[in-house]
Amino acid sequence: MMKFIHAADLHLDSPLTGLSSYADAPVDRLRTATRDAFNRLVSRAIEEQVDFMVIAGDVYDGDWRDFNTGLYFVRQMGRLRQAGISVYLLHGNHDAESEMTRTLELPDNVHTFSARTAQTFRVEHLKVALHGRSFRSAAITENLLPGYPNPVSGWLNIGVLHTALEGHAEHARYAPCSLAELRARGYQYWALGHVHQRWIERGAVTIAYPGNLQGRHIREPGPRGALLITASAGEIVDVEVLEVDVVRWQTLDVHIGEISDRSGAIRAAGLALEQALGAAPGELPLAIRLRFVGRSAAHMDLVADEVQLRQEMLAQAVAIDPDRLWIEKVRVESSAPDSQIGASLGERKGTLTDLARLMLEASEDPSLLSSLHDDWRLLLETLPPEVLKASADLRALRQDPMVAAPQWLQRAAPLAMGQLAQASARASES
Amino acid sequence: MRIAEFNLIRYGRFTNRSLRFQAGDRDIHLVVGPNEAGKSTLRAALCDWLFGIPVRTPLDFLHPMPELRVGGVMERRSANADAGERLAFHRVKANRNTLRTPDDGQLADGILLPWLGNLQAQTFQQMYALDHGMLLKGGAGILSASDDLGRMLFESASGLEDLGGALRVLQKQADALWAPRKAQSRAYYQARETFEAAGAELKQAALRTRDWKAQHDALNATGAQLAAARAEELRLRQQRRRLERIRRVRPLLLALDEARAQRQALLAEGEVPLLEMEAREVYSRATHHIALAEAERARLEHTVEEIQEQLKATPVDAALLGLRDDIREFNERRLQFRKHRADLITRGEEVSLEWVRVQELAAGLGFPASSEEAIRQRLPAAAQRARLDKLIRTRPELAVALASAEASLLNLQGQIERAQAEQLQLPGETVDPDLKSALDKAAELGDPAQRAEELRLGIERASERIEHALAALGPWRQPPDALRSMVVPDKAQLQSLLDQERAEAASEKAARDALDAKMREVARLELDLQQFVRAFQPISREQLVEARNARDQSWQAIKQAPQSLADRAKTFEAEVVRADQLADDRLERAQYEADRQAKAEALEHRQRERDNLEYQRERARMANLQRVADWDALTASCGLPALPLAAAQGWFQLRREVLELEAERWMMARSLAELREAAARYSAQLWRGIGRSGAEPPVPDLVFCVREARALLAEADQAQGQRKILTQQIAQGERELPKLQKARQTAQERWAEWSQSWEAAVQSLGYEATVAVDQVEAELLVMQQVEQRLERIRSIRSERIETMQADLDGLATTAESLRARIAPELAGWQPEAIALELAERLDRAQQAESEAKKLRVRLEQSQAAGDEVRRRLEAIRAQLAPLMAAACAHDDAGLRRAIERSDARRAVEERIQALEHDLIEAAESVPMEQLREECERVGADAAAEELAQLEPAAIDTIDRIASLSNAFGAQKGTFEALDGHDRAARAEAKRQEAIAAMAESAEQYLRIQTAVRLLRWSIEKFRETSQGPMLSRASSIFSRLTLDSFRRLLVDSVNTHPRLICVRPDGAQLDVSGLSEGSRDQLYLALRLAALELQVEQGYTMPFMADDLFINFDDERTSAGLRVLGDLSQSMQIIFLTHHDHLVPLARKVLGDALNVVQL
Repeated sequence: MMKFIHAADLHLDSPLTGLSSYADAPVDRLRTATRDAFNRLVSRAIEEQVDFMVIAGDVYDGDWRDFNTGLYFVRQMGRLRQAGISVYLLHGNHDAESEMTRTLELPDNVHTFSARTAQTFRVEHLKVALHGRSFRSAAITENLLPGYPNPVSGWLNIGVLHTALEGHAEHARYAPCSLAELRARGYQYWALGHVHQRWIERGAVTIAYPGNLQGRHIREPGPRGALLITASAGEIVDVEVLEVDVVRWQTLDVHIGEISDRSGAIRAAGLALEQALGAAPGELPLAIRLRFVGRSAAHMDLVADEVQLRQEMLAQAVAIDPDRLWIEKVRVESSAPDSQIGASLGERKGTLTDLARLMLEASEDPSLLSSLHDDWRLLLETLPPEVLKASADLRALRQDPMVAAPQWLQRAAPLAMGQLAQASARASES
Repeated sequence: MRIAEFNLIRYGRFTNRSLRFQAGDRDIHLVVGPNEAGKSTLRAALCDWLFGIPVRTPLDFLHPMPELRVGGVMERRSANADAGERLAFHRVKANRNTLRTPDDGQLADGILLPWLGNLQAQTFQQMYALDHGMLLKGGAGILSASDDLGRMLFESASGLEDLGGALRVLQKQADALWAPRKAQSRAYYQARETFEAAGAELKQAALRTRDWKAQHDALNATGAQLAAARAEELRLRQQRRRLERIRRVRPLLLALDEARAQRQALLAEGEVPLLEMEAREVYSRATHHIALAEAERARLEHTVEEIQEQLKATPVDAALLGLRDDIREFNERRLQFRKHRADLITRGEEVSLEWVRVQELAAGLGFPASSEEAIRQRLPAAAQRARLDKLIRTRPELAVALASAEASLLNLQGQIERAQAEQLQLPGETVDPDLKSALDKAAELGDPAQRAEELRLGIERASERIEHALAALGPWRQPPDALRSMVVPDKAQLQSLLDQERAEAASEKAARDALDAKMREVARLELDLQQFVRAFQPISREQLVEARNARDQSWQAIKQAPQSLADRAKTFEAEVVRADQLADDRLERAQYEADRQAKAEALEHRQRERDNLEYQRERARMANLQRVADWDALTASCGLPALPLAAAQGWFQLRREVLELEAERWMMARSLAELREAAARYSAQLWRGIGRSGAEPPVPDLVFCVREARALLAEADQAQGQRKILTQQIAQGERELPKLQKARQTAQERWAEWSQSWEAAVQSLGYEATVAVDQVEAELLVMQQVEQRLERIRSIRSERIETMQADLDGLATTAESLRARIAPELAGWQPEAIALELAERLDRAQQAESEAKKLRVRLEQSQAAGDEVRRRLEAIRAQLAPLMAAACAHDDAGLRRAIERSDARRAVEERIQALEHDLIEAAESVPMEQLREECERVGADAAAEELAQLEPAAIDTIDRIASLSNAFGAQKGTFEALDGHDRAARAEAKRQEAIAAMAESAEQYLRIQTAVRLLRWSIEKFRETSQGPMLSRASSIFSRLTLDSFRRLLVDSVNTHPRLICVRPDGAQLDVSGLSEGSRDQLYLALRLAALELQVEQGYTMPFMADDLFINFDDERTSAGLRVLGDLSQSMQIIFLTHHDHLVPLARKVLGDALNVVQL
């Protein structure tokens, strides 16, 4: 019986993105999340007394320049060395790109797969053979698999590979190969890296992506971590998931279909936050994107002042647990009931309806579009590239305002109508 | 849509109030109700009916909230009246299912959708209801939007007054997020600042790989230099060591060679046995000991000779010493008996003295004093003397006992006699037995005089209080008897009368107050009316009629006398002008007149109320008078004429007090009489009891009688007690008398017995029977002395004198025996002298013997010491023997030389050894041959010189190592500080947070900014599309409403912002801001109505509610307004609410029979 850990895509010191900090946000807990997650993994490895650890690429972000990250990695390797745990390290596309990779001096318990050719490390006392080939440069687009050696018969053969396996289209197509090829190679276990979403196929051959250790933005939601593999007599016996993430991303849909006013919607959101927090394990903090969905009379009120809405949601989060909740974004993706806005445009009823109808025609007015463009440019041209990179909407607007404009106008209309409704309510109150 | 019927079922103040709005050619309905009649309730009810009753409503003051209900029928007109649709439904107050059929069946909420579309309550209120206030607001809105025609049209058309506000809110939100100008308050710039700061922090905290590598390489380079410098230093150090070694070793080698030569020379002289290292010391110690021992032996031999000489000079007397114990015992006896000879003489004298004394005493007794024996025979026997002696001692005791018994007896007899005499002297015992009971009763009465005084005072006080109380009764005073017999009303009756009076007074006061208030109000209203008339001068119909009459009369006069036209024309013209003026003014001031009439009516109403109050007050006053008369009748019947009701209760209280005091006084008077009678009776009884009745006719007062009676009783009691005591004493004495008589008899008998014995005893000694006891006693004493002295004489002789003589004789015998044996030359000496001499001789012999003994002991000791010294000498010599053998010496000298050679050889050997050891140490493991070679190769001077040359190089190397080592340490410290910290990661995280914030602010800003643009654009579009039709309608309405003061409206679009212009009939143009307030309101109304008309054209109709819209319009303009509404009512339902009754005839005149008037 032996145990090893399969991890990949550590992306140490890769920042969490999309979280704008606010007073009482749990910043300190989250700023070193990737490191903390890796710390936890190393501690688990030591606790579990695993025989070795396999890291299937992407220890750092390719464009991350702080050598401290490398030194930190060396220190963690040192912890494993003290515990007598070997590490089999494969360089992925990010590692190949990182200038740290070549300079860093790793302790002697770390065995790095060669980039020139597929290399085999034999662990005699365990009868384990690890086969792998590191990336020499980031842009490896050929299939590396054919160069992998034949299995050592009677031993446990582990293939370590950084690859965009077929079917994982959202990741860059580095070192592509197919499942069939992997199954046919004669190894018992394929320790893959590169795809950030956990994926495991158990069978005669076990093929697994452990996913990254820590989600870094809203597109990497849910639990994250590594795999603890148990093998016996050359066979994989068990694959256990080790969740080590220190903050978890979640998109939280607040259904407001049954709710008719703004404060009700905000209460519902608060309740949803509490429930999400209750469902999260232990003291784990959550980074949450709140999405109001459903068809509701409250929609117009919500949409009328999203700035205020965000503030109120932050206040809710702080009230519930400022140490464990971080609101990433608040999106109103609900819609108004037919009766509220002139949905049946065939009938022309009332001046407000006329106005709403007119608004729908706005995107057809080129002079409006051009003056809007002038307005937008004032801001868009001062935005730093990082901001454009962070927001797809802004990027699209900057790249081609004429294409993006109708969508922006469409989203502005409810805001304008909502404001009108509020102004009208204010007038009738006074 | 129109409303055919509306029912206020349970709503506000209404219950089952039904309003019908029948439609004719025109659909206009005038709902008239005075103020507070519920016009606004009706408006709210209509809105609630259509859109639901809000959660909170103030209209539940009559009907409870859950029961609120309104209902009605709505219908849609159609060309074919039969084909029109109708919907009858009720609205209830509930959380859900608020729509009901008239018989309370449930209706779906959606059922109204085809009728109301997406219309909301708020929009309905804004668009389809208009009152005076809204009209004013709308007019103000037009002014504020005068430079934004789009906004003006939109606000007028929608009834929404705060479009500008909405725009401002959005603009403010956008501005808080971003603006081209940087400001700390804007969210985007806050984030950008954080972004830049975090970027700088990142740059500072990040460690570039090449920096790390550079540091790493630099550290390694310094390390290598340090190692090279250390190697150089090692080489120099080794060289220096070699040179220093040569310097150190060279003298050692020379010394070694020299020492080895010395050893060679020594051995050349012959065999040199190497003795033990201590040989010399052993030898010298032995020689020293031998010399000491020889000296000791010579001294001891001399001592032995001396002692032997002394022994010879010391003889010892052995014979004398043989009798040592006898001589000592003899001498001790001599010492014991030393005083015997003097003692013998003293004792002889004592015997003589005693004998003389015995002779004298015997002569006194008459005994013959010839010899001791003779006297002894004359002495009576001891038994006889003892008997006499005993008798003499018992005599006094017997005599005393006899005398005492007799005295006791006499004493007792005397006592008995004295008691009997006292008993006879006591008084008799006669006291009246009734006296005591009379005394007890008198005591119960206490001090009658004091009690009588108290009662008298009590009566006086009661009389005074009665007098006071009677005085307080005032005019209604009557003697107590009359008071007692008086019949008065009871307390409850009186109280109820009082309550009644109070209540009536209060109600009268309330009536008076109300009347005062009402009169003040009437005065205020009168004043108000006067002031109103003065201020607004409304023209009453009478004034107008009067003026017209005056005018007509003048005209008639002129007609009748045309010639006077010239004279009267002026007056007539003035009257015409005045009448016309009044007519015009009256028209203009119709509102004032209406108000005046309202005020006059109100005044009249108050005056009626005042009269009513006056009547009430009068009624109360009459009732009061009646009650007073009733009371007076009641008091008169009680004999208390004119006693006021208020005082009655107090007066009846006083009367009750008088009667109570009277009763109290009567009780006290009776007690006093009883007391006096009892005192007299007890005094007489006591006086009789004391036994003085009759003798002194006036009986003294009770106190004196009681005192006398008590003294008498006390005296009798005392005599009785004394008598009892004396009787007891006599009885006691008579019981003791026989006992004392017996005791006296016994004493007399014992005395007689003693007398007989005495006589017998003295006679036996030869005395007369009558001899005096004293004489016998004295002579017995003398005889005892004689006997004692005789005994003493005998004792001295036998016990002392004879013993001493025997001792002295024994001593003499012993002396003789000893003298004969050892000192015959002492013949003739006293035994004591012999003893002394022999003792001295013995002492001398003993001394000689002791001396000889000591000398012999010393001799033996000296001889033994000599032997010891000789043995020691031999031992020392034996010790030296092995040394001798080892040194092959046969004598001391030989031995001494051998030892010297041995020491010399050892010294040389040790030196060689030490030098060799030093050499090995100094050589630092270099082989000896190499050392010799080094020393031979490098001369001493050369080595020193070479060393001096090496010194600076060595110092230099060490300095270099120090500096390199420092540099290395510093570099290493810096390098090790690169510990993989996370500051850069944290800075990057912060940077990303700022980026997110910037992106968010930017997105929000763009959205809001876009919304602002969109809103402005769509308002402008609205203007473009609705300006033409709306203005053409509004033009005509405005013209009609202003009675053609304005002809039309047009848009001045010369400027960038199109503006609304009002055109006068003469073509003059007026900006909106140039309009009067009234005209602006009319413009707003025109625009509103135009928008409604347009909507109707678009097929969308809702009832329009106008709430007292024309309140500020004169009749003419009101008519114009009604006419406009009348036209509008051909296409939509108009419900006109008013509280002006006078509007009804006007409206009927304008609108004809088509008008439906509903009284609320």
